[in-house]
Amino acid sequence: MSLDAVLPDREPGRRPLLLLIGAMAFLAALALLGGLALGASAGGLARQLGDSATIQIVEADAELAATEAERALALLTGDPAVVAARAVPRAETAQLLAPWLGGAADDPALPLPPAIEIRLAPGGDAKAVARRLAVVAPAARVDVHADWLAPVARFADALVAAAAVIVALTALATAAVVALGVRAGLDAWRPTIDVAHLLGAEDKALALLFQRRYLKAGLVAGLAGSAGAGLVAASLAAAIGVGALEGAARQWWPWAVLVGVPVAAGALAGLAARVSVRAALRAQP
Amino acid sequence: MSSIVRFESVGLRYGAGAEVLRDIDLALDRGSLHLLQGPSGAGKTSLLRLLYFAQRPTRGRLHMFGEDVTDVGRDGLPALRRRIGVVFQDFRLIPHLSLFDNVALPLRLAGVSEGDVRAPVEELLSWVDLAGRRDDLPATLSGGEQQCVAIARAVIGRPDLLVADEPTGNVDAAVAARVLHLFLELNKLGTAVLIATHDHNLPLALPAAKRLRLERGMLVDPVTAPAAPTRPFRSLRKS
Ligand SMILES: Nc1ncnc2c1ncn2[C@@H]1O[C@H](COP(=O)(O)OP(=O)(O)O)[C@@H](O)[C@H]1O
Ligand SMILES: [Mg+2]
Repeated sequence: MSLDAVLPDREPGRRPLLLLIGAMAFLAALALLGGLALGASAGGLARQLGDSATIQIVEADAELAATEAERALALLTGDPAVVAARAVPRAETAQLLAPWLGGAADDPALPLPPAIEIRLAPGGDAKAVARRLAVVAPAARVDVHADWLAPVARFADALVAAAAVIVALTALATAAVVALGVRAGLDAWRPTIDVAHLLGAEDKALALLFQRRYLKAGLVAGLAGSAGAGLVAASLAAAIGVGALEGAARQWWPWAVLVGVPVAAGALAGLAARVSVRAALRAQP
Repeated sequence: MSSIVRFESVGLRYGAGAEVLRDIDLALDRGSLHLLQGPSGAGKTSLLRLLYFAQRPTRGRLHMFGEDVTDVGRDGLPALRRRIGVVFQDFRLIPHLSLFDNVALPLRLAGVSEGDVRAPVEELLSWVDLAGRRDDLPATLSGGEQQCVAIARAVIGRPDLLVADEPTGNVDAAVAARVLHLFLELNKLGTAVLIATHDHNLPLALPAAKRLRLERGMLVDPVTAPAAPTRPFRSLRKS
């Protein structure tokens, strides 16, 4: 029994405290899941598109355009900065434009600029490629995909940073709530704690008692909050598509978040309780 | 050195107030029996509080068990307190614990294993005639019975020093006699006992006890001090 029976585990405010820790864990888990998912998809997008570029021959004279396109393809195929080059068939371009032009896109008379798709070698310099191209095909316009991807990537980075701030704030709020709970607990049991001290109770035993109780509270509330966040995140992924949900479930990190958040909530609550008890007791005469 | 407690010019003040204890020089020997007398407000409780570290001297030195404990840190207190049994004036039993758990508390706080707790607790509950009520809560007991539980709890850790604050103040004459008998028995077993009282008749019940007298915060000679008004009945005042 020792101190556990001396200070029954039923001080006022325990329920609201569990609710608050649970809410913090919910927010933290959701922010982590969202942030990591965003980071992963932005990273995937950057990997897919970051090293590719499209070259268009913008020349009104169709014959000249075709000649320049041929010369450009020949140069690009041999260029050391380019891994792969492929002429985009006219039908493919027409299909891309169909949403804007409707049936007109299929009109063989429609002037469509010839296009070439390339993948740059790692570290390949798109500007140098463009300079070499300008010599053989002055009408070539190089569109590096990473250029228009950059704002998207910056936006994704900002969202990931916001998620990190949310996680930090929930951790801070959890520690503060635990400190308040410990104060309330120490106050509620003040007469009993005073007697226990006079009978030889040690501060460290008291600190350990509160640490254990809040560790448990953090784990339980954290599990509930984390489970809730998992359900919300799963239904969001399912709204995107069954594939997105299945894809996420195959990753390791969503599971790490769902398990890690309750563990972290328990550890944080236990530590905050220990520190608060020690501080409160040290302040006593 | 055979003193278990030694005060050297000890003074105590609460906050910024005047000193409630002044120039206390006092030595209690191992196994001794003392009565600390004095009118209400003289500082008896304050002096006892110094002995169980509820209060620290604001002046002078306090030695216990051969050590200077005047400035002992918070972490050093539990070990010292376990050598001192205290019977508080208001008992301070823990209301939500059974008699058994109340008496067992000092042992459990000291980390005694559960197997070694049962026998001494039951023995002490028998000693104070409460063996049959081990599972009852303190509130179901009379004042005198609560006093006995408080004494059992104070002595369970086999303290070197037992201090009791007005142990006969709240109980009837028969219980008072019984309580004093318990203290005498303990003292015969080697525990130093210090009893604070404003009851003028107590010295008659404990003729073997050495008398100390506090007046307005100072120790005075109990013999030359103005004679206490003799009263046929024990005072009902609480202090
Ligand atoms: N916690 C306290 N704060 C301030 N003054 C106190 C406190 N406790 C006792 N006193 C004062 O100290 C003096 C001695 O009190 P006390 O030690 O209780 O005397 P006694 O036990 O002999 O009646 C009294 O004047 C009392 O008012
Ligand atoms: Mg008193």
